[in-house]
Amino acid sequence: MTCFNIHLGIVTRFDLITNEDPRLWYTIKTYSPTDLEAVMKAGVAVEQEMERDSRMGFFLICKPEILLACMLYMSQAPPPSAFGAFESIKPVAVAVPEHMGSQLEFAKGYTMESGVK
Amino acid sequence: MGSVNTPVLSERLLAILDALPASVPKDVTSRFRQTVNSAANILDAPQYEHDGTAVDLACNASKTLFGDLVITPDSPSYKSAQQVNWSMACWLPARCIIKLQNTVEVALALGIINHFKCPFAVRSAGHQGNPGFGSIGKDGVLLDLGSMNSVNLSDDRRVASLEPGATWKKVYEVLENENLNVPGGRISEVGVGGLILGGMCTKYQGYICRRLTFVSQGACLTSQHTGAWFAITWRALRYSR
Repeated sequence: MTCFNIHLGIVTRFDLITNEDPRLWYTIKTYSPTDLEAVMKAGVAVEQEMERDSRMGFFLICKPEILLACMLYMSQAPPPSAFGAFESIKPVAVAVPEHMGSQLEFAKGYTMESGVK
Repeated sequence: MGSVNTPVLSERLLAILDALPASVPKDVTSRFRQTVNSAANILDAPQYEHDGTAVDLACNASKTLFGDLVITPDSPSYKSAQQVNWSMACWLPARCIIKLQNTVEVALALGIINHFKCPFAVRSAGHQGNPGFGSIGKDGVLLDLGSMNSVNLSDDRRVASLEPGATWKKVYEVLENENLNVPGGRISEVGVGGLILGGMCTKYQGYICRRLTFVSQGACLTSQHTGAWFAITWRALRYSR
Protein backbone atom coordinates (compact mmCIF):
# COMPACT_ATOMS: atom_id res chain seq x y z
CA MET A 1 0.00 0.00 0.00
CA THR A 2 1.62 3.25 -1.07
CA CYS A 3 0.95 6.95 -0.91
CA PHE A 4 2.86 9.30 -3.21
CA ASN A 5 5.21 6.42 -4.02
CA ILE A 6 6.01 5.91 -0.33
CA HIS A 7 5.48 2.39 1.00
CA LEU A 8 3.09 2.69 3.93
CA GLY A 9 2.66 -0.97 4.70
CA ILE A 10 1.83 -4.36 3.27
CA VAL A 11 -1.78 -5.48 3.50
CA THR A 12 -2.01 -9.09 4.60
CA ARG A 13 -5.77 -9.49 4.85
CA PHE A 14 -8.87 -7.96 3.28
CA ASP A 15 -12.27 -8.39 4.95
CA LEU A 16 -15.21 -8.06 2.56
CA ILE A 17 -18.94 -8.08 3.28
CA THR A 18 -20.56 -11.04 1.52
CA ASN A 19 -23.66 -11.00 -0.65
CA GLU A 20 -26.05 -13.90 -0.12
CA ASP A 21 -27.20 -14.06 -3.72
CA PRO A 22 -24.27 -14.92 -5.99
CA ARG A 23 -26.21 -14.61 -9.23
CA LEU A 24 -25.06 -12.14 -11.85
CA TRP A 25 -27.02 -10.94 -14.88
CA TYR A 26 -24.84 -9.82 -17.75
CA THR A 27 -24.63 -9.21 -21.45
CA ILE A 28 -21.93 -8.01 -23.80
CA LYS A 29 -22.82 -6.03 -26.90
CA THR A 30 -20.62 -4.66 -29.64
CA TYR A 31 -21.24 -1.39 -31.44
CA SER A 32 -19.87 0.26 -34.55
CA PRO A 33 -17.22 3.00 -34.15
CA THR A 34 -19.48 5.18 -36.26
CA ASP A 35 -21.84 5.24 -33.27
CA LEU A 36 -19.09 6.41 -30.94
CA GLU A 37 -20.76 9.63 -29.92
CA ALA A 38 -24.09 7.94 -29.13
CA VAL A 39 -22.35 5.11 -27.27
CA MET A 40 -20.29 7.52 -25.17
CA LYS A 41 -23.40 9.53 -24.27
CA ALA A 42 -25.21 6.32 -23.33
CA GLY A 43 -22.19 5.29 -21.24
CA VAL A 44 -22.34 8.58 -19.35
CA ALA A 45 -26.06 8.08 -18.72
CA VAL A 46 -25.43 4.56 -17.40
CA GLU A 47 -22.68 5.83 -15.08
CA GLN A 48 -25.08 8.44 -13.74
CA GLU A 49 -27.72 5.77 -13.18
CA MET A 50 -25.10 3.74 -11.28
CA GLU A 51 -25.00 6.56 -8.73
CA ARG A 52 -28.60 5.64 -7.87
CA ASP A 53 -28.47 1.87 -8.30
CA SER A 54 -25.63 0.10 -6.52
CA ARG A 55 -26.40 -3.24 -8.19
CA MET A 56 -25.32 -2.03 -11.61
CA GLY A 57 -21.98 -2.74 -13.19
CA PHE A 58 -20.68 -1.47 -16.52
CA PHE A 59 -17.52 -1.11 -18.55
CA LEU A 60 -16.89 0.09 -22.08
CA ILE A 61 -13.90 -0.84 -24.23
CA CYS A 62 -13.19 1.36 -27.23
CA LYS A 63 -11.01 0.08 -30.02
CA PRO A 64 -10.62 1.57 -33.51
CA GLU A 65 -12.54 -1.31 -35.02
CA ILE A 66 -15.20 -1.98 -32.39
CA LEU A 67 -16.87 -0.68 -29.24
CA LEU A 68 -17.65 -3.28 -26.58
CA ALA A 69 -20.16 -2.58 -23.83
CA CYS A 70 -20.51 -4.97 -20.93
CA MET A 71 -23.57 -4.57 -18.73
CA LEU A 72 -23.88 -6.34 -15.39
CA TYR A 73 -26.48 -6.45 -12.65
CA MET A 74 -26.26 -8.17 -9.29
CA SER A 75 -28.65 -10.94 -8.32
CA GLN A 76 -31.55 -10.21 -10.70
CA ALA A 77 -32.46 -8.90 -14.13
CA PRO A 78 -32.01 -5.12 -14.33
CA PRO A 79 -34.90 -2.66 -14.47
CA PRO A 80 -35.38 -0.80 -17.78
CA SER A 81 -33.90 2.36 -16.29
CA ALA A 82 -30.53 0.68 -15.74
CA PHE A 83 -29.24 0.32 -19.30
CA GLY A 84 -32.13 1.97 -21.16
CA ALA A 85 -29.74 4.55 -22.59
CA PHE A 86 -28.41 1.89 -24.96
CA GLU A 87 -31.82 0.81 -26.26
CA SER A 88 -31.85 3.30 -29.12
CA ILE A 89 -28.41 2.24 -30.44
CA LYS A 90 -28.37 -0.80 -32.74
CA PRO A 91 -25.53 -3.18 -31.81
CA VAL A 92 -23.35 -4.71 -34.49
CA ALA A 93 -23.58 -7.98 -32.61
CA VAL A 94 -24.53 -9.41 -29.23
CA ALA A 95 -21.34 -11.12 -28.14
CA VAL A 96 -22.98 -12.58 -25.03
CA PRO A 97 -26.79 -12.68 -24.89
CA GLU A 98 -28.53 -11.57 -21.73
CA HIS A 99 -27.79 -14.23 -19.23
CA MET A 100 -28.27 -14.97 -15.54
CA GLY A 101 -25.05 -16.58 -14.42
CA SER A 102 -22.44 -15.94 -11.75
CA GLN A 103 -19.35 -13.83 -11.20
CA LEU A 104 -17.14 -16.90 -11.54
CA GLU A 105 -18.70 -17.84 -14.85
CA PHE A 106 -18.37 -14.27 -16.10
CA ALA A 107 -14.77 -13.88 -14.96
CA LYS A 108 -13.70 -17.16 -16.56
CA GLY A 109 -15.55 -16.45 -19.78
CA TYR A 110 -14.34 -12.87 -20.04
CA THR A 111 -10.76 -13.91 -19.37
CA MET A 112 -10.88 -16.50 -22.16
CA GLU A 113 -12.64 -14.27 -24.70
CA SER A 114 -10.45 -11.25 -24.07
CA GLY A 115 -7.30 -13.36 -24.22
CA VAL A 116 -6.01 -11.78 -21.05
CA LYS A 117 -3.81 -14.15 -19.04
CA MET B 1 24.72 -5.71 21.08
CA GLY B 2 23.34 -2.50 19.65
CA SER B 3 22.65 0.69 21.50
CA VAL B 4 19.23 1.96 22.53
CA ASN B 5 19.06 4.11 19.45
CA THR B 6 20.55 1.67 16.92
CA PRO B 7 19.43 -1.88 17.57
CA VAL B 8 21.20 -4.66 15.77
CA LEU B 9 19.17 -6.76 13.39
CA SER B 10 18.42 -9.62 15.77
CA GLU B 11 17.16 -7.18 18.41
CA ARG B 12 14.96 -5.50 15.84
CA LEU B 13 13.50 -8.82 14.69
CA LEU B 14 12.85 -9.99 18.26
CA ALA B 15 11.09 -6.69 18.99
CA ILE B 16 8.89 -7.23 15.94
CA LEU B 17 7.97 -10.72 17.17
CA ASP B 18 7.18 -9.38 20.63
CA ALA B 19 4.90 -6.69 19.18
CA LEU B 20 2.77 -9.02 17.06
CA PRO B 21 -0.87 -9.31 18.16
CA ALA B 22 -1.97 -12.18 20.39
CA SER B 23 -3.98 -13.67 17.53
CA VAL B 24 -0.76 -14.71 15.72
CA PRO B 25 -0.08 -18.44 16.33
CA LYS B 26 2.50 -18.89 19.07
CA ASP B 27 4.22 -21.80 17.33
CA VAL B 28 5.08 -19.58 14.35
CA THR B 29 6.52 -16.77 16.48
CA SER B 30 8.37 -19.30 18.67
CA ARG B 31 9.99 -20.90 15.67
CA PHE B 32 11.25 -17.58 14.38
CA ARG B 33 12.34 -16.44 17.81
CA GLN B 34 14.45 -19.59 18.05
CA THR B 35 15.92 -19.04 14.58
CA VAL B 36 16.77 -15.40 15.32
CA ASN B 37 18.42 -16.26 18.63
CA SER B 38 20.46 -19.13 17.18
CA ALA B 39 21.57 -17.11 14.16
CA ALA B 40 22.12 -13.80 15.95
CA ASN B 41 25.87 -13.88 15.30
CA ILE B 42 25.28 -14.21 11.57
CA LEU B 43 22.42 -11.69 11.43
CA ASP B 44 24.29 -9.05 13.44
CA ALA B 45 27.71 -9.48 11.87
CA PRO B 46 27.53 -7.53 8.60
CA GLN B 47 28.95 -4.04 8.57
CA TYR B 48 27.36 -2.10 5.74
CA GLU B 49 30.54 -0.36 4.63
CA HIS B 50 32.57 -3.53 4.26
CA ASP B 51 30.31 -6.45 3.51
CA GLY B 52 28.29 -5.53 0.48
CA THR B 53 25.45 -3.38 -0.68
CA ALA B 54 22.27 -2.90 1.30
CA VAL B 55 20.32 -5.25 -0.92
CA ASP B 56 23.00 -7.95 -0.66
CA LEU B 57 22.89 -7.71 3.11
CA ALA B 58 19.10 -7.82 3.15
CA CYS B 59 19.02 -10.88 0.90
CA ASN B 60 21.69 -12.67 2.95
CA ALA B 61 19.86 -11.94 6.21
CA SER B 62 16.59 -13.09 4.64
CA LYS B 63 18.25 -16.31 3.51
CA THR B 64 19.45 -16.91 7.08
CA LEU B 65 15.96 -16.38 8.46
CA PHE B 66 13.72 -17.82 5.74
CA GLY B 67 15.94 -20.45 4.12
CA ASP B 68 14.52 -21.87 0.89
CA LEU B 69 11.79 -19.26 0.73
CA VAL B 70 14.45 -16.87 -0.57
CA ILE B 71 15.14 -17.31 -4.29
CA THR B 72 18.30 -15.82 -5.76
CA PRO B 73 19.43 -15.60 -9.40
CA ASP B 74 21.50 -18.75 -9.01
CA SER B 75 18.46 -20.77 -7.89
CA PRO B 76 16.87 -23.17 -10.44
CA SER B 77 13.45 -21.69 -9.63
CA TYR B 78 14.51 -18.05 -10.09
CA LYS B 79 13.34 -17.74 -13.69
CA SER B 80 9.85 -19.09 -13.00
CA ALA B 81 9.55 -16.90 -9.89
CA GLN B 82 10.66 -13.87 -11.89
CA GLN B 83 8.20 -14.59 -14.71
CA VAL B 84 5.04 -14.81 -12.59
CA ASN B 85 4.18 -11.31 -13.75
CA TRP B 86 1.67 -11.08 -16.58
CA SER B 87 3.68 -8.44 -18.43
CA MET B 88 7.14 -9.28 -19.75
CA ALA B 89 8.14 -5.69 -19.02
CA CYS B 90 7.92 -6.67 -15.34
CA TRP B 91 10.31 -9.63 -15.54
CA LEU B 92 12.94 -7.60 -13.72
CA PRO B 93 16.11 -9.09 -12.17
CA ALA B 94 15.37 -8.67 -8.46
CA ARG B 95 18.41 -9.35 -6.29
CA CYS B 96 16.29 -11.89 -4.43
CA ILE B 97 12.65 -12.94 -4.31
CA ILE B 98 11.15 -13.89 -0.94
CA LYS B 99 8.05 -16.09 -1.09
CA LEU B 100 6.29 -15.06 2.10
CA GLN B 101 3.79 -17.44 3.66
CA ASN B 102 2.11 -15.47 6.47
CA THR B 103 1.86 -12.17 8.32
CA VAL B 104 4.75 -12.98 10.65
CA GLU B 105 7.09 -13.48 7.71
CA VAL B 106 5.87 -10.23 6.14
CA ALA B 107 6.64 -8.35 9.35
CA LEU B 108 10.10 -9.90 9.66
CA ALA B 109 10.93 -9.31 5.99
CA LEU B 110 9.95 -5.66 6.35
CA GLY B 111 12.08 -5.49 9.49
CA ILE B 112 15.11 -6.70 7.53
CA ILE B 113 14.45 -4.33 4.65
CA ASN B 114 13.99 -1.37 6.99
CA HIS B 115 17.17 -2.27 8.87
CA PHE B 116 19.30 -2.20 5.73
CA LYS B 117 17.24 0.53 4.03
CA CYS B 118 17.10 -1.28 0.70
CA PRO B 119 14.50 -0.80 -2.04
CA PHE B 120 11.75 -3.38 -2.36
CA ALA B 121 8.57 -4.17 -4.25
CA VAL B 122 5.52 -6.24 -3.35
CA ARG B 123 3.76 -8.64 -5.71
CA SER B 124 0.46 -10.47 -5.20
CA ALA B 125 -0.67 -12.16 -8.45
CA GLY B 126 1.54 -9.99 -10.65
CA HIS B 127 -1.06 -8.52 -12.96
CA GLN B 128 0.32 -4.97 -12.84
CA GLY B 129 1.74 -4.11 -16.26
CA ASN B 130 4.08 -1.27 -15.27
CA PRO B 131 7.72 -2.15 -14.44
CA GLY B 132 8.62 -1.36 -10.84
CA PHE B 133 5.13 -2.10 -9.54
CA GLY B 134 5.07 -5.69 -8.32
CA SER B 135 8.60 -6.03 -9.71
CA ILE B 136 12.04 -4.57 -9.04
CA GLY B 137 15.50 -4.70 -10.56
CA LYS B 138 18.85 -5.93 -9.29
CA ASP B 139 19.06 -3.27 -6.60
CA GLY B 140 15.97 -4.42 -4.74
CA VAL B 141 14.13 -7.22 -2.99
CA LEU B 142 10.84 -8.59 -4.34
CA LEU B 143 8.35 -9.68 -1.67
CA ASP B 144 6.12 -12.29 -3.28
CA LEU B 145 2.72 -12.73 -1.58
CA GLY B 146 1.49 -15.36 -4.05
CA SER B 147 1.53 -18.07 -1.40
CA MET B 148 -0.67 -15.97 0.89
CA ASN B 149 -3.84 -16.86 -0.97
CA SER B 150 -6.39 -18.16 1.51
CA VAL B 151 -10.11 -17.36 1.35
CA ASN B 152 -12.01 -17.80 4.62
CA LEU B 153 -15.56 -17.11 5.80
CA SER B 154 -16.59 -15.82 9.21
CA ASP B 155 -18.78 -18.12 11.28
CA ASP B 156 -21.84 -16.00 10.48
CA ARG B 157 -20.92 -16.01 6.74
CA ARG B 158 -21.15 -12.23 6.60
CA VAL B 159 -17.47 -11.51 6.09
CA ALA B 160 -15.02 -13.10 3.67
CA SER B 161 -11.36 -12.71 4.62
CA LEU B 162 -9.02 -12.76 1.64
CA GLU B 163 -5.25 -12.86 1.57
CA PRO B 164 -3.59 -10.67 -1.07
CA GLY B 165 -2.16 -13.49 -3.20
CA ALA B 166 -5.55 -15.06 -3.91
CA THR B 167 -6.92 -14.67 -7.42
CA TRP B 168 -10.51 -13.64 -8.00
CA LYS B 169 -11.09 -17.06 -9.61
CA LYS B 170 -10.25 -18.71 -6.31
CA VAL B 171 -12.35 -16.21 -4.35
CA TYR B 172 -15.43 -16.80 -6.50
CA GLU B 173 -14.96 -20.60 -6.51
CA VAL B 174 -14.77 -20.77 -2.73
CA LEU B 175 -17.65 -18.39 -2.12
CA GLU B 176 -19.98 -19.77 -4.78
CA ASN B 177 -19.67 -23.17 -3.13
CA GLU B 178 -21.27 -21.42 -0.16
CA ASN B 179 -23.85 -19.63 -2.34
CA LEU B 180 -22.20 -16.29 -1.62
CA ASN B 181 -20.18 -13.71 -3.49
CA VAL B 182 -18.35 -10.44 -2.98
CA PRO B 183 -17.66 -7.51 -5.33
CA GLY B 184 -14.46 -8.24 -7.19
CA GLY B 185 -12.48 -8.31 -10.41
CA ARG B 186 -13.76 -9.22 -13.84
CA ILE B 187 -10.64 -11.12 -14.93
CA SER B 188 -10.21 -14.41 -13.10
CA GLU B 189 -6.40 -14.39 -12.85
CA VAL B 190 -6.08 -10.92 -11.32
CA GLY B 191 -4.99 -10.89 -7.68
CA VAL B 192 -6.96 -9.61 -4.75
CA GLY B 193 -4.22 -7.30 -3.47
CA GLY B 194 -3.63 -5.34 -6.64
CA LEU B 195 -7.29 -4.78 -7.52
CA ILE B 196 -8.44 -3.68 -4.10
CA LEU B 197 -5.48 -1.41 -3.37
CA GLY B 198 -5.28 -0.19 -6.96
CA GLY B 199 -8.57 1.64 -6.72
CA MET B 200 -10.74 0.01 -4.10
CA CYS B 201 -13.64 -0.10 -6.57
CA THR B 202 -14.99 -2.72 -8.88
CA LYS B 203 -17.42 -2.92 -11.76
CA TYR B 204 -20.09 -2.45 -9.13
CA GLN B 205 -20.63 0.84 -7.43
CA GLY B 206 -18.77 1.55 -4.25
CA TYR B 207 -15.82 0.22 -2.36
CA ILE B 208 -15.04 -3.46 -2.23
CA CYS B 209 -13.45 -3.81 1.10
CA ARG B 210 -14.66 -3.38 4.67
CA ARG B 211 -11.44 -3.77 6.62
CA LEU B 212 -7.71 -4.18 6.03
CA THR B 213 -5.02 -5.77 8.10
CA PHE B 214 -1.60 -4.47 7.17
CA VAL B 215 1.95 -4.56 8.41
CA SER B 216 3.93 -1.33 8.65
CA GLN B 217 7.35 -0.95 10.20
CA GLY B 218 6.84 -4.37 11.75
CA ALA B 219 3.58 -3.33 13.47
CA CYS B 220 0.39 -5.18 12.58
CA LEU B 221 -2.54 -2.77 12.18
CA THR B 222 -6.16 -2.93 11.13
CA SER B 223 -8.60 -0.40 9.76
CA GLN B 224 -12.28 -0.78 10.38
CA HIS B 225 -14.02 0.69 7.33
CA THR B 226 -12.72 1.68 3.93
CA GLY B 227 -14.84 4.79 4.03
CA ALA B 228 -12.01 5.98 6.26
CA TRP B 229 -9.40 5.51 3.51
CA PHE B 230 -7.64 8.72 4.42
CA ALA B 231 -7.66 7.71 8.06
CA ILE B 232 -5.91 4.51 7.07
CA THR B 233 -3.29 6.49 5.20
CA TRP B 234 -2.81 8.89 8.09
CA ARG B 235 -2.53 6.07 10.60
CA ALA B 236 -0.01 4.26 8.46
CA LEU B 237 2.01 7.46 8.09
CA ARG B 238 2.16 7.65 11.87
CA TYR B 239 3.92 4.30 11.94
CA SER B 240 6.16 4.79 8.95
CA ARG B 241 8.98 7.07 8.02
